[in-house]
Amino acid sequence: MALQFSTEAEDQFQTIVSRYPNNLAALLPVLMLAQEEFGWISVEVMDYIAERLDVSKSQVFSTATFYTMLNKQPVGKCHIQVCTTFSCALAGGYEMLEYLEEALGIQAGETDPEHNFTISEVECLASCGTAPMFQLTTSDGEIEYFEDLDPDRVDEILEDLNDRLDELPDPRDMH
Amino acid sequence: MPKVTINNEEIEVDDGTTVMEAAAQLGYDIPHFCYHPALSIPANCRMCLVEVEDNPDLQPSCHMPVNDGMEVHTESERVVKARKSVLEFILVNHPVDCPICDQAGECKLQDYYMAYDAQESRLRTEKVDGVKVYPLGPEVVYDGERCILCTRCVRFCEEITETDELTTAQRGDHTEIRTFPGQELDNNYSMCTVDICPVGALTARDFRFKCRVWLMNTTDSVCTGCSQGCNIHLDHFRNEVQRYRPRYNPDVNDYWMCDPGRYTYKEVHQDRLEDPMVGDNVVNWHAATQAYVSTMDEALDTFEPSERAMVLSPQVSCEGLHQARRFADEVLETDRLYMGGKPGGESDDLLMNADKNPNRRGIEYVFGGLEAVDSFESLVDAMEAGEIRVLHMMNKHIPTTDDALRARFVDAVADLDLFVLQAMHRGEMVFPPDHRGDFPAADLDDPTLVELADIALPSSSHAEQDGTFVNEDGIAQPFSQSFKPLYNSQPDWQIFGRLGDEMGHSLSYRRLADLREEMFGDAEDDAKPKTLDDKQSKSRAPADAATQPTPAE
Repeated sequence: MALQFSTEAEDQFQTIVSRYPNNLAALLPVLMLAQEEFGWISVEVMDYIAERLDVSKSQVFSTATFYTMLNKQPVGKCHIQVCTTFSCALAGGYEMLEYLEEALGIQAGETDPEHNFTISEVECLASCGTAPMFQLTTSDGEIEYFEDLDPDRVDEILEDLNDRLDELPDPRDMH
Repeated sequence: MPKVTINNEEIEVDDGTTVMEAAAQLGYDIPHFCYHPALSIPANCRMCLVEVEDNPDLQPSCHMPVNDGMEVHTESERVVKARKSVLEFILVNHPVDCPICDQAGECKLQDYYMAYDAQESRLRTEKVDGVKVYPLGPEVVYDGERCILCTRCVRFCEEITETDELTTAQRGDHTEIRTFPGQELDNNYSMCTVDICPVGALTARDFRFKCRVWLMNTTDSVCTGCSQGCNIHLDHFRNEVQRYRPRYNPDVNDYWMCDPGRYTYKEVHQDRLEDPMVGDNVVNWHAATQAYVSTMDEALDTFEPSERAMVLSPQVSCEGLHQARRFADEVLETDRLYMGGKPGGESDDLLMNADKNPNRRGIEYVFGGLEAVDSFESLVDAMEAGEIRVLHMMNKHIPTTDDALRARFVDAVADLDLFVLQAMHRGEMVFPPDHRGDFPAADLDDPTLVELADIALPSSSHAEQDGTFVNEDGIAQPFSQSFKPLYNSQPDWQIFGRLGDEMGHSLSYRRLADLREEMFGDAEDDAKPKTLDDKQSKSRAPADAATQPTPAE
């Protein structure tokens, strides 16, 4: 199946490209856009982006593999990125990570079999004043920060997410 | 022009010269990995840090242009200490397994480690394992643990071949050189990445673990793969060519050579005609010469000069061709000369030429133009018409891929009264039959011409003699003997000398130099091929010449 941006994504693509002096500079935001659009960055996606931006495939591959926020494997519908750098670690980031792992039954770096949740342990997300925190990326492209967390708040968030799961597309099926 | 003081020696250099180039002009070799004179300068290895006075930090000399009045120290205590620290970082995850590494002996990392670091790792954590024996393409194998990520190979593919196959993947200590998934490093110059790799990360499939580099001797030579005449280091061990490496020559091939060209070294050893033969009998040179004299004397009496012909080979050195010219003139007394050699092949825009013969221009210069030499097709026509009865053929290449014409030629040869073949190989060697330089069995099993020959004389390859090739641009390039002629072969110029002398004409030379003085005839200088001055082609460069900074002209 040949990949193709949807009409809205195509508009965004054109806007991004017009904003930069050359196509290489637009590569990172375009990859983010592609992840939103296609769920994850597969080899086919890299190939498509290289063709669209007219940069070399190996350059796209290099950039995509460098950045951990670009998923080279499909993640769950909800990707929870838990900060465990200094401020969060001191304020209970690891405890919250363990709590999440227990609640979802998966370890950091893992995805549940239904591809609903993925937990990642990440470095500082610049929210030190409101530690502990995590970032949630959902497969519809929303990125949200959840701050000043405690177990009750995490339960609440997970409950909300469970309600939304049916609306969210499975990244594996997005291209 | 800025004046710069390096280690208390003053030198005036051109604007824009980097500190490293200026230092090279004074003879200081600043250690470096990522810098390569033909590639862009990323300054990522930090090995070339030097101290610049009035500058608080050490500066990468490969990247820093000189300023007027700059004072640089390349060997100060601070610099040496920095080199040691840089090496310690580079070696954090390096296995330091030189004894089992194929690069050992020509490895910059090994050299610098011995010179500046030479200590056990102070890290007590486990090293990160990299990938071993990872094939990047058909010719090149990658070792992730030994790679120092200088990105020379990446830049080579971006800037020289412009094929963009290679890149760095992942990040931090997991970074490795990779191709895009599903792609291979498969261009005509992929093995150049092995040459420029300063460490043992990229090795050539053909050469790896074949021979230790310190056992080999190196001769300055010229590639015989095509008419470009790339300058090469011919590395050999115990009378066997182990590999070709490109030798820097800015007028011909820069630092590079093509992969099919590299594989032509196999021609030196595959399927050689080992001994002189008279009919089906293997004989020594004395007997072969006697047989030649008696049969040729008779043929000269029987047949008119116009019934005798010679096929010239553009595979043979100018020295051999000069003797061929005299032989045709004085002994055969014929002006029926025909062009032999290999048929044309693949070409590209960089170095590879369609003409797979190294010395076609040599024929032009030795014979004062190509007008005197007729095409192979006209030879076949003349033979079929019965106009030619006696043929002396140099090398058994048939310069056509047209099977019908080849068959016609072989049939016509069978009808000749006297057919003398003076050749390197028994079989028909058309290169490259495939990319890896191994010859298909069918070609090796086709010694038809040798069988048809009344007399077959084994000639030597370019590795076994001194000689000159004139490349496509008309540059005469000498090559040197690496080892004595293999088997019972002799250089073409000596064979003609021997036969000519025995036929009663004084054709032989005592010294090759005497022959060389005559070989381009009495032509004016501008009608002779260009010769390069001694700076590149004659110098016996160090093993790693391709990576030395080049002093500005």
